Amino acid sequence: MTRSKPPNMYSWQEILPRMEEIRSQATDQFIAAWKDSQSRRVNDFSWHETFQVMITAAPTALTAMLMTLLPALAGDQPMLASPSDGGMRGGWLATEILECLRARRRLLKSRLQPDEMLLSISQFPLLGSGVYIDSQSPVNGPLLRSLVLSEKCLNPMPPFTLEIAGIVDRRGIVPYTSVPVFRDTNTEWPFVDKDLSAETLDFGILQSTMNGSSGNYNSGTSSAVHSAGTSPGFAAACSTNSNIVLNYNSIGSAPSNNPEGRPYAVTPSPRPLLFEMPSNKNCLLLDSPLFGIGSGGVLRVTLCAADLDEARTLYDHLAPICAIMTALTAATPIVKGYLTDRDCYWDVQCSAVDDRSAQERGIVPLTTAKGTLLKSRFGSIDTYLGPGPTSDDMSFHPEFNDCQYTYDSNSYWKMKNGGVDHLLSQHVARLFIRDLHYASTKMVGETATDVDAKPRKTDGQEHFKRFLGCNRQNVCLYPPNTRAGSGWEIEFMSLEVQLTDAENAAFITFIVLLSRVIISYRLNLYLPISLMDQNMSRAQRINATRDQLFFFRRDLFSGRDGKSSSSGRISRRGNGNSRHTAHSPGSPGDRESFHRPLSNGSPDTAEYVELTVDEILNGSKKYRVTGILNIIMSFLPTMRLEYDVEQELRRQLWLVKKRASGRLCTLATWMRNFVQSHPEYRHDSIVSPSINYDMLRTMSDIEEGRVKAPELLG
Amino acid sequence: MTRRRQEITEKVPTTPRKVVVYTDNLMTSNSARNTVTGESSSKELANSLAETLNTALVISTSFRFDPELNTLEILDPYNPRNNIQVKGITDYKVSVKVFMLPTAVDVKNRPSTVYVKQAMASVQRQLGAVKIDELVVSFAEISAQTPGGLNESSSVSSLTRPGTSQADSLLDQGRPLDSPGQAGISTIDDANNDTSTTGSRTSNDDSENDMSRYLKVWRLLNRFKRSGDASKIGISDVTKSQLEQLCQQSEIKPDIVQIRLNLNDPSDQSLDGELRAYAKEQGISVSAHADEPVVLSDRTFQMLASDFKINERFPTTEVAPQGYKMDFMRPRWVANYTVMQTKRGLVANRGYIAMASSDCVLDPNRISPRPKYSMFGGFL
Repeated sequence: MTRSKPPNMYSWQEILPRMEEIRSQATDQFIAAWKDSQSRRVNDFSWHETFQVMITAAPTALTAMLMTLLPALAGDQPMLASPSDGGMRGGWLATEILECLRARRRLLKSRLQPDEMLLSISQFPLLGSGVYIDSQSPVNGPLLRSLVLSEKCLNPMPPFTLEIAGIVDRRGIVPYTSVPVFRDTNTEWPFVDKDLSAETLDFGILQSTMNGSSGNYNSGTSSAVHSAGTSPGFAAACSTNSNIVLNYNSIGSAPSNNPEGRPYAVTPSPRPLLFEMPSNKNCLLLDSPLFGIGSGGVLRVTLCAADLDEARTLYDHLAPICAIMTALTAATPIVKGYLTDRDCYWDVQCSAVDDRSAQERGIVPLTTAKGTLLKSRFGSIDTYLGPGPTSDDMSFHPEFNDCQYTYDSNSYWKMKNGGVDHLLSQHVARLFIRDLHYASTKMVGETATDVDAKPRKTDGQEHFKRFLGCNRQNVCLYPPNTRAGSGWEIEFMSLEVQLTDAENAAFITFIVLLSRVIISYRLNLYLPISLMDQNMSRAQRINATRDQLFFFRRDLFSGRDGKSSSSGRISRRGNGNSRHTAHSPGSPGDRESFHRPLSNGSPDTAEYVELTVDEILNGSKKYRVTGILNIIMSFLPTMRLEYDVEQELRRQLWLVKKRASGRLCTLATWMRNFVQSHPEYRHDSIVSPSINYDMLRTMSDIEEGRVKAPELLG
Repeated sequence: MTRRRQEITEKVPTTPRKVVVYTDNLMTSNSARNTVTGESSSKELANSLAETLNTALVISTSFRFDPELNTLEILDPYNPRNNIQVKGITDYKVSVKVFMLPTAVDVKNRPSTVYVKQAMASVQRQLGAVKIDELVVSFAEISAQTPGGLNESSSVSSLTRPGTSQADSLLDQGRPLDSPGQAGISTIDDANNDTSTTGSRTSNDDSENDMSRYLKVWRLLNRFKRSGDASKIGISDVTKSQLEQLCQQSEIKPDIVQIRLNLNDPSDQSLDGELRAYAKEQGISVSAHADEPVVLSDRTFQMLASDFKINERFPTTEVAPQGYKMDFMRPRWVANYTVMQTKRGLVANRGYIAMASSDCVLDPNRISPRPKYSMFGGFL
């Protein structure tokens, strides 16, 4: 290993023997945090947002646009992130958010070089294609081991390099991602990625597996993930079997009967699933975790709940809206210099940081891994939390958790015995199935000295937080921070960052108000996880806001009081074109054994109906859907707000409304149109550096108000 | 709470028939499903009243009838007080808005304080003895004048209507339903169109006239404030000159002025710029609302009453004197209360209370009209 490592950090391989210890401590820490939170209430609602931008530059040649890394910009800001000033926002109103975002952007802009631009976009369109970064170094460096990304892209901060290395080491190969290419009239078809091919990647698995499994940590603990030490022949045999008919009927979400006797509880699975066989036909291939983390803009909203029950409510009911918001904020139609067949970046992000080992992915038989994991550690949620044990909320049914997932049994039983209820402990144990990718010596040092570890064990939450950081779902639950005095927090992750501050503020406002409405009206948005995953994959389709149908609960007001029965019926509409969509990062696809029959008729009585984004947000008389924006709009006057405040909130919601109704297009549509109407575009899906330059330049002008974009901003 | 026999009307010395409807907590899912439309608040009110009447009279029986007071109280049997489940949080804020409908007037045709007192008593009965943080009164006559209150806002935006004829026309909309199109908002439209063409007095006089009509009620609100029943008082939809008049004539400054939002165009900032400037200067907070000028029209109420057979089920106990007859029940006031946790941005309880009563009026079929009441003859 040639990688340099700071002395106070341990890499994944070094902490691997102690992973169980860390896990156990993290469990203790969670139980402590949970117990501690039982008696505490947070009186004020607060929230904050995370807003990340990227900087591009046109240094010399005026026809090329490059990414710039922040160290060139300002030494005191560690990453591209600019954290919200002063932590959580007091007060629940989102009116000052616009000014705050603007101020932050001004601050960042003030430090730019004259030839640099600040853009809030989720990914640099040409990342990985040709020349894309300042002083680009050759590819295939020792740190990234990527064939398309230069080492220069990697932020040299130690935790970050260790994180990247941990992903690659744990997986045994650089994670690769395939993105379907958009087929234009002149696109070479079948499309073949010129930089990478599936074969090099497949052999890459075996190469790095053979090199990487040095065997010296196998003996550490029995649970050490043994890097897939199998022969090339086996992998080949396995992949020929790829057309096994998967039998999902026996999969349930209940814990197995005698998990105490077994080292790891896995929800019953008939056989190792070959779920990850992405079709690499006509796809772009990406081969670095950097495509997922650390290089793009993000927009997230964190909401603070009063207590755990409220947090669980928000977690559950915000999750189904994620896909809708992804569709509505779609902003990434270009990846690696090509127009893609997707408008969003979510799947790329999720699969780029996928650290599952070959066993967990089901490519080789399980020997040491705890079970097959169907989803990447970034992705949509596996389970709902349900209401707390003392809650009188009747809307949750166990059938909603209709997907397979694996959880760490030791942690589960430890939490269960510690008093945590079933669903919550399962949720946390499910997070604990992943490994940490690095640890500081301080943290691990505590574990090493058993003597004084006891009294300090329940002190901090470091381990636990690290495990949470390892998992990034469309909604995340964070326990109270004892020091900052905050309550349980929910982070809403699936927004794509928008170009202008006004748009970002509008979507933040929408999420904040939606959370208020969910609690006030006790809305019920539950949607079976499998349908939610389907929504997520539909949401990323081209022009999903206009063209796609999403499963959604028809009557948001039913069920919380337990008075209305849930029929479980799904009403579909249309010819089913949008029905069978493969969800690439490990989703098990269509499974609705709990929710049959799938009738086409009578949407009036169905529990779930297929709706457009417009109908979900603005309501539909035909399907008797109220519309989330209508609910919010009729909620606003009841708050007796100041005139200016309400006016501002309504103006922001207006933008969301018009986006949903299709009167304004998404940024993705705008970018796509820009490329396709560019004179230099040859209708071959390739976004050349000069097109990219013009596009980013125009986007920057739009952001600064020099160019009007009525189709985007109204 | 002690139940005191109240002098209900000042028109005719009989106890009129009175119906008070308390809606369910509109934040609960069952009610919200039927009331949240994203449309107007009058629709919401009508829906919630229908919902309550249905639950209270058809599905179950939930009413109190007091023959002595001739009062029928209809309340939703469910009515959970609080929709938010977090225990241990108690800093609630109660906001009440009393809509004085066009018919809530006394003999002199001025908005009557009796109705405000009734409304406050009903709110206290519904919510328990709470301190009201915001008490806002809305006079239908004033609200109807604001731009955006009516369907075509441009034609009525600048003119202030003469007070008396306005009130008369509004009264007139409550005439029996034999003449269709004479009830509800459409009538106000007509009235406004009429008056805006005929009205020729200067606006200064008008507002003077206007505001003096409301002084009694306004002073009552101030008494509530002084006695501690309400912390802040406010008035809805006044213009700047009206607000100035109100402050001058009563020497009571409101804490809140509510103005209507233009729901169709959130970027519309033109609304009452000078009012907002004046309010800011005076330290009056300007809040927003989205209610129609007449939240409950006579027609809506009478349709509800006939749908649920209120008159048939609870026949009135009184007999009108010779030459008079019992009029239709007309809504007098509507109180809208909201209990919220402002710091957390949540609403725990919200509902309407609507009161309608009938008066003795001259029987149009009487044989010899007395000249004293000939002013009604013009309308009939």
